Amino acid sequence: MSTPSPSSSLVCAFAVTRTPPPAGLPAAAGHEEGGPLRQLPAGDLWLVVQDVPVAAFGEAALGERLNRPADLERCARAHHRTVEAAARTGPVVPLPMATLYRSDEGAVDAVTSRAAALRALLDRLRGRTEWAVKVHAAQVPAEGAGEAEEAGAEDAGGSGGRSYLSRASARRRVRQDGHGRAVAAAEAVDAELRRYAVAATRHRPQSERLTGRRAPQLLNAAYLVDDARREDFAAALARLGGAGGPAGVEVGASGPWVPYSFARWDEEGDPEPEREVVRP
Amino acid sequence: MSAPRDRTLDLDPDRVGNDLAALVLTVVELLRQLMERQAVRRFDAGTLSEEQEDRLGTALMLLDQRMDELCERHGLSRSDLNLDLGPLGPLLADPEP
Repeated sequence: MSTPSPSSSLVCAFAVTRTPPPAGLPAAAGHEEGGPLRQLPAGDLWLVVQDVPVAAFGEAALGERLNRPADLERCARAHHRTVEAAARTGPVVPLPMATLYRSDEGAVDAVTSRAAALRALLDRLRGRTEWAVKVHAAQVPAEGAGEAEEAGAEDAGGSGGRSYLSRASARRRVRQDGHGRAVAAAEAVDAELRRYAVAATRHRPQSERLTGRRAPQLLNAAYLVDDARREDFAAALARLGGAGGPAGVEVGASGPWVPYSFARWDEEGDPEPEREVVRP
Repeated sequence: MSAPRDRTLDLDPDRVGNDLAALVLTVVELLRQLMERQAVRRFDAGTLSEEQEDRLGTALMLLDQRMDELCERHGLSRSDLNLDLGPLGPLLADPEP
């Protein structure tokens, strides 16, 4: 099965599975630059890999490519497509994007040396999916600040300097109150969703440039949800995002995902699993 | 992360001048916000005399207007001045922590 990779190619690993998908993997998956997907036996586990050219995936070339948002996106999509294809027939442990080895042997060694942890992880992820939930402060139009300014101007009544200070003070109070309420609402959303999840984790909130919103992201969380409770979770999401949900925040969700956030196979775990996708 | 990307280095003089202006204005805006915050704190605490309040408020108001003029001259808006400090959040954080 394994042709030792010639030095002009590397082995890119995508995911670890319990069993090889019976029908094989779709030819369309994998990185465009690479060869067909292959499955490597690694002890009693299987590894989905692809040969990729050093010219595109060597350290310098890859670093350069991942700095370009368009290439980074293509790379991430190819990775995700492949992981999803592998996940169709059972639990998978997705590997970080662009996990590269010099040879099949290196990739297999990496899996067999952590086989126990990987088996435990596969059991934990079986029949469960990840849901991503992002809570933003509601985008208030500038009126809010305008009203406060008018109110401040009325009761100040003094000369220009003092009324300016009083307006600034009112503005600040309005903003602080609003922010405090929104943070509390985001916490409430998180607490409610955790009731229906097996596990939850929080990522660093994304910057406004990344989200394209004028309002700060207050919660960027992922929930691991058992298939049996998926409907309950979805119902809770609908409640929280609907008209009866907490005021002052907008709740956005996506899923089901392959449980990337819960599939850290390095025992320590990476404290910052999510990379921001935009670079200056 | 990788070697300098010399191919994407932008040395258009106009652009460099504008980026520099934006950076300077960012620093000025940061200081302005800090001063305003401090002034509002003392205003709310009532530790300033009326005359002090008036002088301080007038100075801040003029500075605020001047910032608007400068931003307009360089084709920037106040929100353009904010820098994303990654895990630390935005530099000009309006809602105080």
